[in-house]
Amino acid sequence: MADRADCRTLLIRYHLLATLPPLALGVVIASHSLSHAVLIVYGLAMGTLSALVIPTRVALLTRVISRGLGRAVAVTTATELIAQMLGIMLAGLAGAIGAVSLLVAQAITLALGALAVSRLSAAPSQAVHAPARVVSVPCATDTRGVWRSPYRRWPRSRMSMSSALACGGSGA
Amino acid sequence: MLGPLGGLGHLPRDAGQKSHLNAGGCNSDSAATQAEEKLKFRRYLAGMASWFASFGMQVILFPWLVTVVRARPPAGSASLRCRSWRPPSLSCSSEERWPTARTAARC
Repeated sequence: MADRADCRTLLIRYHLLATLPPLALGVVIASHSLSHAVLIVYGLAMGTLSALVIPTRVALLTRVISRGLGRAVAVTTATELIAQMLGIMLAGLAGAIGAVSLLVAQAITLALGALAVSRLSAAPSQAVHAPARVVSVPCATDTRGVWRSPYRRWPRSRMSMSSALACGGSGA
Repeated sequence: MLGPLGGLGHLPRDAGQKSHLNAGGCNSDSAATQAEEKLKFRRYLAGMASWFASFGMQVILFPWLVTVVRARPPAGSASLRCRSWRPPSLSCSSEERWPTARTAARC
């Protein structure tokens, strides 16, 4: 989807959609009706949105930066880790400020992200500008072809490692 | 196959092109383009930071809700975390198995 659509529009939509699960969970907690099923639905909703956001964001990077992509990826990864740590530090206040306030803060953070992305210029599909290439059938059907592709290797291996480590860590 | 000399061979040509551009009066245009790109990248980073800050909050909040608010054992939060990670993993696996035409074109 990220390859075929305007990544900026997609990201704004995903960010705005992602504000809904925390707000809904906040309402559920405030009404004292939190259940295991609600948490599963919340987890699946945020996980699904993550699955959509991460490839879209990676695709958008190549449209924002025209040169120095290696350095941009390094800065992006560092920012990602720092932002995650800040979020974790803020969530450490859950006991003091309460889960509802924290969920509202999460929704506001996501809305601010949508605002930042909306200030970017439109990022239409590269298929419009790129010259047409012949798609070879063996390459399209060969998993090794995708693995070797520099466009897919980074996000795919990163996501696989993250999910494996997260599930392994939780299981331990 | 490019050897070390082949790689170095590009440097003077690139440097020459840059100096030629500067001499031609494109310096201000290039600086403006760079500044615009930098601003775009900052906005991109801000959007990304907001997502990951939210994700960081979720990483702590999710098990906290299970263990403190719901008063369940930590094992419950582990299975829930795994469920929340399933969609991204499935999405990546399906992309690997059935690559889109665009992905295939880039191979």
